[in-house]
Parts: sequence; C-alpha cells; structure tokens
Amino acid sequence: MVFGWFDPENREQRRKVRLDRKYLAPRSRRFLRNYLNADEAQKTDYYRVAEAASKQCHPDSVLLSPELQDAQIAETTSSAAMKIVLERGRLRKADRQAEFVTDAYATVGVAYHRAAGVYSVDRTMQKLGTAAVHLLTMATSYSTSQND
Amino acid sequence: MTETKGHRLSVLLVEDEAIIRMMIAGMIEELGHDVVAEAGNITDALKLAKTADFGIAIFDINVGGERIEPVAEILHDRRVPFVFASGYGAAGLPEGYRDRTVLQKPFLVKQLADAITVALQ
Repeated sequence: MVFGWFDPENREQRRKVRLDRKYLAPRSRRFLRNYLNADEAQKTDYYRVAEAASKQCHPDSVLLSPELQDAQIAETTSSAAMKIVLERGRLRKADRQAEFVTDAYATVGVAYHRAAGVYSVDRTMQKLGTAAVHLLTMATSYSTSQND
Repeated sequence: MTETKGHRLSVLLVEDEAIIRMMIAGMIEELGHDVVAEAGNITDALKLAKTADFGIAIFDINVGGERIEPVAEILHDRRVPFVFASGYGAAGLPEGYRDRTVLQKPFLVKQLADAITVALQ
C-alpha cells in the first residue's frame, strides 16, 4: 500500500525492525547457530541462560495490570532486552561468557518482537524470530521439567 | 500459507507463557481460524471452558504449575474437541487422555494444522 509509508504505526514498526536488525539480529543468529552446534549437555546452558534473560526482561508481575495485553508485555520485554544488549555491548568484548549472555538477551528481544508480530514486514527477521521463540519454548519446558 | 480452511474455527487457547501464547495465536490465525478466548491460568481457563462458545481448544498441560485435567474434563463432557500442547510430547499426556492429540512444543504451523484436523475427526 503506497500510503502505508506515511502511517505512523507502520513507520514505528519499520524503526523497530531496523534497530533489531542492527543490534539484536547478529547476536541472536550467533546464539542460535551455536546452540544448534552444541551437544545435549551444552544445550542445557543455552536453556538456562535464555530462561534467565527472559525472566530478567519480563515486566514485574506486580506491575502487570490484568488489562495489560500480551502485545504490551512483549513490547516491554523486548525493549528491556534491547536496553540490556546495548548496555552490555559496551563491556569487555573479549569475554566469551559475557558475550554468550548478551547474545541470550538479544535472542529474547528478537523472540518477543516476533511473537508480537513486529517482523510481519520482514521475512528474514520473521524466520529468525520464529527460531528464537522456539528456543525460548524449549528453555521453558526444560525449566519446568527441572522444577517438577 | 498453510490452511485448514473448510470452515473457520473458533478456538480456546490456554497457555501460561505469554510469548508462546502469542505465537500459537498467530499460527491459529494464519490457518484461517479465530482465537475467541484465551487464558493464561487455570482459573480463567475453567471459567472459559464452562461458558465460552468455541469449536476446539488448544491447551498446555502444565499451566503455571497447575494441571489442565479439570479443564479437559469439562470439554470432554461438552463434547468439544481439544489438542494438548506439551514440551514433553506424548510422554506428558495426563492419565485418561493418552489417546488424545498432542503437539510437542515447539511446533510448526503445519503440525498444528494436522493436529487440529485429527482432533476434529
């Protein structure tokens, strides 16, 4: 649609995609690629760090009003993840463990924007986001099984 | 796009994790169906299972630490088909529902479409 370009909502969506592509996508891609290459024992580390990052970014349940929609939760979570990625990006770059954790936050940011439909205009980000959500889903299942 | 169109279904979705709930809701819409009721906990799910009008339900087995069986029981009595979605696949199915359709999370939209088709048969 030609006039979609002027729509402030569309513009905001494109802005989010652009920022995610720049700051989150490379890290998230690396996290997911390394996860796929990891053995079963190593994969549990990915689940743990992804689950912890997701919890850290998720809005405090005390602050959640019953009316707060899933999309708002997703946006808040993704924004928090982006903020952490940018802050952590200034840390020591040579620290592999720190980079691993930062990549997990990036994956959380991508996953929540994918779930909220932010990437509907970008096929590549949509695919990356789907993979990120799947990893978080497995992380949740792993965490639940550990708590049972 | 994968579609299970033939008729548009009204769906009850029960899943405690917001991100997974959003993902599944998106898949359901992609298949041409409508999510008419959603719950993120068992209390809301029980209310909706008793009162809402829908043609099929898709639900997690462990919802915020509580089991889904009471909800499944209501739908069984109402003769409404349902699909379980579990991180453990068939191994996580509740006793008494071992013959039901189950989706192992995470799943693809095609697998969801197949599960809905099987549940409706």
